[in-house]
Amino acid sequence: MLSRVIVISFLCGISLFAQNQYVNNYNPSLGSEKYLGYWKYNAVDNIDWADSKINDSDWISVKINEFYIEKKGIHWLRTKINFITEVKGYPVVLKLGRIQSAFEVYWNGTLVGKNGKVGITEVEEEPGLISFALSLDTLAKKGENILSVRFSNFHQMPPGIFFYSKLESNLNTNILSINAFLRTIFTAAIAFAGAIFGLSLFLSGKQYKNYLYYFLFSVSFFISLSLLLLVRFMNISLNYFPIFEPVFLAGLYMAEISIFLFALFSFDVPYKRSLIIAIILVSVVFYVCNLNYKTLFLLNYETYKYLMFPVTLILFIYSFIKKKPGSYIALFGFILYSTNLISGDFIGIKQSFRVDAVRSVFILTYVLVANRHVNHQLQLQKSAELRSKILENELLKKSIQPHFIMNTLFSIKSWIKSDKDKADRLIEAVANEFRVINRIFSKKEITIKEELELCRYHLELMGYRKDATYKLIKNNIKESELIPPLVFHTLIENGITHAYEPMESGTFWITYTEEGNVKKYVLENDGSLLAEIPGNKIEESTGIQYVKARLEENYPGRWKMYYGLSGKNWNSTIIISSGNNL
Amino acid sequence: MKILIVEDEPPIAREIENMIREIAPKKIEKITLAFTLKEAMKRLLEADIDLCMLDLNLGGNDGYDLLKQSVSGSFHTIIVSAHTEQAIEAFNYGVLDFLPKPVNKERLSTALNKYMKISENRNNSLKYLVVRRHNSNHIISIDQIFYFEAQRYIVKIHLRDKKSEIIEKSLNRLMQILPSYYIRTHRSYIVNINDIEAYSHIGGGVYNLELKNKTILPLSPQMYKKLKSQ
Repeated sequence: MLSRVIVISFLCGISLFAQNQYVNNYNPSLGSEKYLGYWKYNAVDNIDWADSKINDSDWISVKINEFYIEKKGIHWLRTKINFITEVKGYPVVLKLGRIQSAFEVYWNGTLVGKNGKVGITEVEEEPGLISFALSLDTLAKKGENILSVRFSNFHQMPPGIFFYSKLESNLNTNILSINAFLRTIFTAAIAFAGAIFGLSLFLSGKQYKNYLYYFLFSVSFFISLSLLLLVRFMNISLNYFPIFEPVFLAGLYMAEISIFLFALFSFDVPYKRSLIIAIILVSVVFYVCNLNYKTLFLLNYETYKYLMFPVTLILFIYSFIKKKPGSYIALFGFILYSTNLISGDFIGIKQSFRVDAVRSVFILTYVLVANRHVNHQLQLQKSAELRSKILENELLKKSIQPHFIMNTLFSIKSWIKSDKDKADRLIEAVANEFRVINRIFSKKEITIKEELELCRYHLELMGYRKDATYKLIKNNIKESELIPPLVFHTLIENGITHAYEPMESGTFWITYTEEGNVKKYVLENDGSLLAEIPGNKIEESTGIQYVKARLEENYPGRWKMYYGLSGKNWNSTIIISSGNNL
Repeated sequence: MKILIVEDEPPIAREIENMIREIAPKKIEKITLAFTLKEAMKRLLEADIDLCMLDLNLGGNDGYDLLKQSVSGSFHTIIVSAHTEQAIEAFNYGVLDFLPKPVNKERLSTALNKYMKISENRNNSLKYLVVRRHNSNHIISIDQIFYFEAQRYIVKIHLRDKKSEIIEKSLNRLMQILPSYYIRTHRSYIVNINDIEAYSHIGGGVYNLELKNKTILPLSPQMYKKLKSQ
């Protein structure tokens, strides 16, 4: 099993790793800055600022990834790009995602591209696309080039929006774009597959309810990736941003919650309700703050991720310790998934690749977890069926035991000679008892009415065998109540054997009481032999084992049985709770 | 015959009694019924009986103790039981016969005949003899037994380790349950044929039997003739 996990992880990781390496090695010589980090800023609008020859040393130096101007109007940004070699023949793409909300691009003084329409007022401005890319091609010449951008920011998004803060302005090759695109699609496809798998498993049976959360995780992940695809690689206008942000963030939060809930429901963890309420409350608080109160310190997705990690990890470790089926692989998958919390590139593997690779592996390992669960469920089912069959078998054996049949036949033989009427009635009682047994033997539950009917025939039968009279007195019995078959029959059998001498008549009383969701049966009988039982020394007969097995099968963990002397009589008590464990 | 029937279901006990009376009406001196374990133990200890018809499953118990108690007596035991799996073990302990319930009249007749005849139908599955010693029952494995000697009121079992035990059964009764390699060499002795080393005529109508460890026992003239002719 573990070998399968390792192989899958290895295959996923290596394909993404290969892409990563390919990109790293395929590198046109751009000088020291692949990413356009530092720019010069001027708040004043002047067409001369495009000219390559003007002096911008007194302009303000800004870092493009952190660039944000409150003041609305028209501004300029300039930067120098140094090409070490000729880049003819290599398609070079300029991506200006950071600069909002409409701009004009000047390359060495010439206008080469526009994103939206720059305006003096908000009405005049037309916001551009979220992701703007410009192919430089023959424009890029060896040596120093001046890139100037004239922009207006009337439709600018507030700072701190998750989406936007990850976009960069950079100069890169088409292949890098294609790579990122393919990688995102690949991972999105795995998320989609995971979602389908989770959904189908969830719908296949109520023992797979936890796969709803696996489905939700995959769907959330898929949504986030799809939005990323749209924003980064399709031409979507800035106008759609206000919709994307909440949805994208919701996807991220949903993913974290879903993993947590999956662990909770997969592994029979205690205090479910309180944990669910707590997590949902916390998540909602974080989400709302993240959307609206962006300046609220620490209440953002980053902190949330780091908070959820140990909480979910504890759940997985708990299941692992309790040796729940599938918990071993699940824990491994989760720890692997959590490596995406570590930021930064790692042995040459870029963070973005690592994150996607790890998430894909995570989704796939849970296929294996599902495999475990399914097998476990099948086994439980098989054992339950087997137990049922064994009990049924025992019931039948009880009714055709040699002691019962041979003695009864011998008894009939005797009565035929001494009292024909009694012989007839004994034969009838036997027939009646067998008739009832034939009716109920394969049932898991019968009505108390049927059970007591059986007991009545048995008492009659035993009366002829022991040459005595046995009575059964019912107290407060609710005839439609259900119980497992031959429970009271067994107790009465024991009673007749151990309490009465031959030819001694006796009485059995059965009383039913109900208190809330607790049902109680008390079976009592008299008998002279009871006085000879030493103290409370009770031997566990195979009959009692049958009774206990039946009770456990029908009411697992919520029944109690005890028996013993109560004054001169023998008492057997059975308590069944229909609520939770007793 | 004085017969004790131990059976916890009165109709069955009565039926067994009826059947016995039908089969051998003239041979019966007394038939007693015991329905409970307590009653049974009391009667078995009284030992004023020749034959016990015993149901091993008295009161739901498995009857092993009851069996030991019965076979240690001076009387013979015939088991009457619904559980035929118990038959082999019963024969290991030296019961005269085993009758499955419901009892077949012919089978009962055969069993009663076994009681009345001596040294026919030997029990080759006998493994243990049970003796009563200080109020408890003691099991002797048959290969520990060297030979049997009848003394005035009891029978002494001489064991191979030079110790001895006392058993209440008469030599006649023992002959009915011992394996066929035990022979009645004398009015007062039963010997294992495999232990016989030599036999001789001393003279004057006195015959001797020499056993493997140099034990000399008296030998009856008839047995001497029989051994000689084999």
